[in-house]
Amino acid sequence: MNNRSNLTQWMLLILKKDLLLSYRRAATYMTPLIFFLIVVTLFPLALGPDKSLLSTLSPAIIWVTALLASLLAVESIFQEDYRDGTLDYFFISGEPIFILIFIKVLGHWMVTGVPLLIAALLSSLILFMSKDIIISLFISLFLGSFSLSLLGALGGALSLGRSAILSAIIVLPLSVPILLLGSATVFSAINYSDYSVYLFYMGAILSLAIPGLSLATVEAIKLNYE
Amino acid sequence: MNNLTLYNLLFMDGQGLFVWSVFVVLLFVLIWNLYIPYKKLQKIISTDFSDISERGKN
Amino acid sequence: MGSSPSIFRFISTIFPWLFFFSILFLMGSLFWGLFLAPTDYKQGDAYRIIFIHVPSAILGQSGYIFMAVFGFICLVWRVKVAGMIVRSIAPVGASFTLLALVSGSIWGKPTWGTWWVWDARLTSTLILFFLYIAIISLFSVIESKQKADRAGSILALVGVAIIPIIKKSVDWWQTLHQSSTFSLSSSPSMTADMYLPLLSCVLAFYLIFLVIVLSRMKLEIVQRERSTNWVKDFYS
Repeated sequence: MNNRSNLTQWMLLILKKDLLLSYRRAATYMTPLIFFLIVVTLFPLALGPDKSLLSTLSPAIIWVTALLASLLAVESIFQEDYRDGTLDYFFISGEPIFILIFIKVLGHWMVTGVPLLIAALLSSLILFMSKDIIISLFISLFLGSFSLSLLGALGGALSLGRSAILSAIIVLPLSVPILLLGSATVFSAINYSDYSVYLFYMGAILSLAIPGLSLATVEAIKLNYE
Repeated sequence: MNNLTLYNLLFMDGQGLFVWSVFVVLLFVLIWNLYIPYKKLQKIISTDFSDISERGKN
Repeated sequence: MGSSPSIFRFISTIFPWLFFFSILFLMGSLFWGLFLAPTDYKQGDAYRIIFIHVPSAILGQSGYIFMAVFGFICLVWRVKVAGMIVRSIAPVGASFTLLALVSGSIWGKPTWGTWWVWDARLTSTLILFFLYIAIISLFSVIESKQKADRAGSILALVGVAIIPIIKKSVDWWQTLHQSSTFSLSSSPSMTADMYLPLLSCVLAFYLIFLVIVLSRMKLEIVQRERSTNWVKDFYS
């Protein structure tokens, strides 16, 4: 009983610390958001202002940009905590470490993934996406961005202290299923066909990714403590 | 006659070009993959193990 | 058993024999496939690319599975040699995957009239190649060899769990967009005089794969243990 409450305390502490830190320093959540909006703006500039073309391409544009923006945030997941020794406390806490890492990723998703959802909704207006399909975009991005955060955590842990381009090379091929399913959801919503099957599979991927990728991330972080 | 069959074997109704270019790529990949470890090993052998008395100098 | 010196001596003993045997076997199989096998009545002689394309695609995929298996051994039991095997397989598997892509695209030109299509299989093979590149760049960036071995093993394991998902999602993507009119998955049934040389080529490719991996392992062991006495004794 005592042990359990200890773990909950740890979890709350990690969440509180991460949220507070990013609240005090706006760059952590603003950078991916601004990046997202700028890149989405670049597409109409490159493609031309054709309304029908933009609305056909909008799911692809938003999904690819969301993928890139979530990559941008990858580096910051463990870098700071590794440098100032917070991660050391995870290891000596005696708590199941993959739960702590998972909470860490959850906190990271809350400060980078959730703003992306809002930015995606904004940019769906810029790209003339019809209102009926915004809900499918929102749900697929909601499920997908969390899986992307988990993947990004693995990439960030494997490339800890190294260039960000390495984590991009690691994460991008692995994130293909999420990109495909996410844009497939929105495309089938555009075609008025049933898109729930894609959402189910995205949920299945997410539920596999939560334990699997948390464990892999723990193993990857451990490499830096030997 | 004999010449003609050899020509047919190699030319393959105009598709030989594709088949043989794949073959050349295969040869290149195999030689590259076999040569690189060999070359690196030889380099280590020649620098590290060539002459025990030489090694003390560097 | 399992120590670097004994494995190194074992590789050094069998390597020349294995090398010549597999080269001969490969030449024989390719001769069988490229000259002796009958011409396909539909595709003509261009189908002979299959004797290079299919074995290299098989090797590209099974190379990744081998990497994941040895990566698991490296992570769980901390076997050093398993890590070396993972590191030796990565570039070989990548080059066979690249060979599969290149030969497929050269095969595509005479049969479909185009070098590349976004077919499900081609796409997932391309992603497999990118996964190999990710592992290779991880190996090349991390300086400490043992750390790099384990990092690569983690990535190999995660990748092997995700590969089926990638394949499945690429299949859905394919059915959703339905741009291509043909499918590679329904392969026509082959007769024995085409099937047997193909099987022989696959075996020969496995052997040559083993030879390349062994030569890389040999290099890997010498690189890591160049300061030990047994390596010096071996080469002096």
